[in-house]
Amino acid sequence: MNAIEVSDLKYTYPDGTPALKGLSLQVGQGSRVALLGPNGAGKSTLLLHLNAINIPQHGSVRIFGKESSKENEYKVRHRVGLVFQDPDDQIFATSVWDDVAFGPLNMNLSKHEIEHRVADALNAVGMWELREKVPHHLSFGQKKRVAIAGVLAMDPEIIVLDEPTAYLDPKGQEILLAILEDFHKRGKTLVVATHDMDMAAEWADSVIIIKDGRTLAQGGTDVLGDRDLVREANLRLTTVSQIFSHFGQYEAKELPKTIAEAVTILNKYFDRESC
Amino acid sequence: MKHIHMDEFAKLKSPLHTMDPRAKALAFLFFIFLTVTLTRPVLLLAAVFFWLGMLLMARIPVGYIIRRVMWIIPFAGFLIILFPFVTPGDPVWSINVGVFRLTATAEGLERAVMLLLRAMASVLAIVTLTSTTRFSSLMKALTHLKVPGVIVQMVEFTIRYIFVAIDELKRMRRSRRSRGFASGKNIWHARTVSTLAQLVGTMFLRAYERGDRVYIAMLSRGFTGKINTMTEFVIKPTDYIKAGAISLLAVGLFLLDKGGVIR
Repeated sequence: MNAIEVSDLKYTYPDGTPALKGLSLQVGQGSRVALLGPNGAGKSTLLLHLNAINIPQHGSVRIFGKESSKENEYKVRHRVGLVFQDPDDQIFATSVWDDVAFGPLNMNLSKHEIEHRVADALNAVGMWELREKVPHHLSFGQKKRVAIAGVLAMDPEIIVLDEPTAYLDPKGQEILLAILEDFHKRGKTLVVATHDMDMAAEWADSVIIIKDGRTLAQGGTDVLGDRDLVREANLRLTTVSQIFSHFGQYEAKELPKTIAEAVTILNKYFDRESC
Repeated sequence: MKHIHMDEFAKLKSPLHTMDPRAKALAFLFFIFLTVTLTRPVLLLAAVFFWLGMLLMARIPVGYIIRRVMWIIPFAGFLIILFPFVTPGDPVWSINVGVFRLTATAEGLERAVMLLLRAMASVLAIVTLTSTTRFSSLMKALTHLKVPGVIVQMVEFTIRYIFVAIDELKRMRRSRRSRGFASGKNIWHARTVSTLAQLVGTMFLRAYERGDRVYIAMLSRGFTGKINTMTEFVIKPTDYIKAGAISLLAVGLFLLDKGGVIR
């Protein structure tokens, strides 16, 4: 069974702006999916559908086979966690601990269970030491981690992150990727909306590209090496692909996308040279 | 950006710090409620010294106390200055300002002193409460004391987002200046006024949109319209004693005032 299954989803905003025009996609359980698309492609609208904040006007969103609707919106929100781009939008409580406890408190869990979950979530993102801090005294990267902990504490099976690496410094991005890796090992299904092509290639095991409210492509990371598709989606090739695209030999061949692929190719090349 | 730390001294240790926030809030509010009814300056002065003593005992730095008490000025300062000159009574002092002659009266001065003392006693009590209690604990205590959730949440959200708004204002100001904007010397400078008006409008819109996004983020974490809180407040026998002592002192002052034992 797919963790997420969206079919023929259409959504028009109250002011008449169509955001989604018959979008379909599938996300396998336990997979790491990068959701790519230019600004205005409908990414944010789609993310709000995955969490039952927006209810489909047409088509359907299924979470582990169950269709999301007004009736089961709370159930959907307990199974799908959504981490927003701006942590200041998400962290509203007056202390880190209280904010992370907000989700579990909404789930009416026992006191013991809530304390356990908050501690686990704060430890997972390395923020336990700062649990008594006031959010506005935290750095951007720390706020981001608190926002992620706030979602993790609800123990959702699916975690959706909107631009998790945006505005983070290299160290912050590294920490974030380590957190995502940890979530993957815990068996969570991860969907990351991003503009970072390099991150998508290095991190994801499958890729969904959307444009103008429709799915343009869906598949393994090899779609990132498809020059025509990437151009059509107003995206760009990964840094590694860009370098290799300058060499005539790769005109008709599939471009390497990740550092590891490039290293393999270059190793072979240097081995031949040294013979 | 750096911000004031509103409860930076809440982690210190003192009998007031360890007091149960609910008992503390209740006893302090009761004290304030009774002291504002006092009519004798001596008794009000006693209340002021009581709170000063409490603050010093809790090792709150004097500079911090003075900064907080200064907040009386924008609120009551104008009335305190005005009272001596607008209250009818025996003139004690006068000054000629151009064609006007301002006369201060004894009754007016007394009213001004009373207002100042009342404001000081109340503000010092609140400063003691907020500086010895973690803000989040204080909010939880108010929830426990059946203060309407809407009010508690309004205070909480204001404190949480005022710094976000101040940061936004600072960034906007910086970017205006980096594009060569210099504000005019007075409020009649049309371009300054229109720029500031736009600023206010933009801030309003941003706050409105931020409110939407915060609400959506709350919904996505399963918010059902009711804020649940979890607290581990345990009321100890010493809390009853402390709250009782503070309340008794307030009642004592009140009775002395009504009974007229002290002239």
